[in-house]
Amino acid sequence: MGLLTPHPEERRWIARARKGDPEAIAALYQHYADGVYRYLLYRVGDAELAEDLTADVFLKMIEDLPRYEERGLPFGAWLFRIARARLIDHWRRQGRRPLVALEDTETGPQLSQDIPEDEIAVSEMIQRALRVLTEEQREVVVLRFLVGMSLEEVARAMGKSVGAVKALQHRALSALARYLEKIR
Amino acid sequence: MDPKRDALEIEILERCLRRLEQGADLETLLREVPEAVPLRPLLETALWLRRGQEVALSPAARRRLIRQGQLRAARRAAAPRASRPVFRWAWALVAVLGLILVLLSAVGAAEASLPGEPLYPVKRAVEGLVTLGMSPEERALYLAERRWSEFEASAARGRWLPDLAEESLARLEEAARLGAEGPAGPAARLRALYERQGVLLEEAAAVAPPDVRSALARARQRWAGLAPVLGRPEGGIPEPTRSVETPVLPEPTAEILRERIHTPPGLEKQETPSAPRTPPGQEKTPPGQEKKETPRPVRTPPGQEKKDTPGPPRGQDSAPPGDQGPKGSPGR
Repeated sequence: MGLLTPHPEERRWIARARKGDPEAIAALYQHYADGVYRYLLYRVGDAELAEDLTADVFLKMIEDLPRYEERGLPFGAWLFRIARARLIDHWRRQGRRPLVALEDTETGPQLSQDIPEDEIAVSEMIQRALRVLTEEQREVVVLRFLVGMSLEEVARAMGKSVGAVKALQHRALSALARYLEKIR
Repeated sequence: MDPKRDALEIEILERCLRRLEQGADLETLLREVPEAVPLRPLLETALWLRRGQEVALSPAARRRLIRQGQLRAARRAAAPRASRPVFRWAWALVAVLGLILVLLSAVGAAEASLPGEPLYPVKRAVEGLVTLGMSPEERALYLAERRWSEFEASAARGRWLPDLAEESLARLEEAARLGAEGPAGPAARLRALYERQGVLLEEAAAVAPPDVRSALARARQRWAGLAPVLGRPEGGIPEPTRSVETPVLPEPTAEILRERIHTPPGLEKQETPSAPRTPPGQEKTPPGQEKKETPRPVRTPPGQEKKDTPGPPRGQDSAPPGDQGPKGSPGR
């Protein structure tokens, strides 16, 4: 399920979560946590760090929930904005992007011990492949194919035109296809 | 690469990606859209990337996150309402409104204050702000009227404050010198104020206590000295009448004093001189008749009456400043 796909019960969950209802909070987490986590995992390349950042994003969500409706955004898009801001904040504090170039690493991304092995294999492969891309191409690929946003949602999230995102997407898939062809 | 071919390929790729998103099979899709066949590696890559969506938080991590969130929400719900940002803003707003109310009340109360009272400095400070946008002559006239109203109000309470009289006279002179001229408006106000000052200063000589009488006499001399300033020929402020044959003021009765001195502060500005108090020099009566027809005397500057006045019934006008008038008490 994509990060921005709303649940039919979402409005009720939000209203109850504002009052501190633990069940409503759990429901919001269950629905959105994986999307946020995936986005952060593929952007930072470290499962533990991605978990910590995901926790921060949801705590911020609880703090800001009373102000949510004023923003007039779908809840998923609002949550994604928090995630993106949290990621940028993390990078700023680090002083650099945590993803290092492919040739600088031999171990690949660090994945959580809790994740099943086949998922680790796919995730590791994708993490390695993403490193052949430019920063913008990587953002497009993560949002479109790993988080599950539509082309228009990606364009809005990145502040680019749909045409520009289409072109970035084409170049990214071409680069990844060449990389996969080479390693097979 | 040909840009046109490139653009076409980008469009075909996006169309095919949407079909795959909707669940189409790749082989079927390529059969239906043969021009997409060269894009097969890209479409296969997209499908491979989608497998990355299977990655999810581990159940343990998910439980941990949910627990953290629930605890935070519970703490937030239990926190005092005032600590929430929206309530903090509400309290701040109430505090600011309260402060504004208190300030406005203080300003309102200060308006009636007199020198020596706690709110008088507030009144003077507000005056400073009010007069910021005024022209210099308007400001001087405004302050002259204000000080004189205070002088009258305090005199009505039995407090004679020569400093206020001096300040009012100084402001009046300033206003006249700055050119508060014209047939109406400032000029009329100048004349009216000058009249008011003359009336009360003259009466003060009779009723003020001895300790301030000399200071008030000096103020009256200053008032008399303003006549030439106010009577500039080119200006609209005529000189007060100095006729030597003008009947001298009768002894003010207690009723007259009460009526004059008890004029509420603030109303004096609108007050136009009463009929008997025709502004000096404004009399339209034919020459030679004005002395007989003037029902009320025109105040004469001290020192000028002695030679020309046959003999004042009160006697104080010819007395040296400070010793003028009977030693009456304010009596009010």
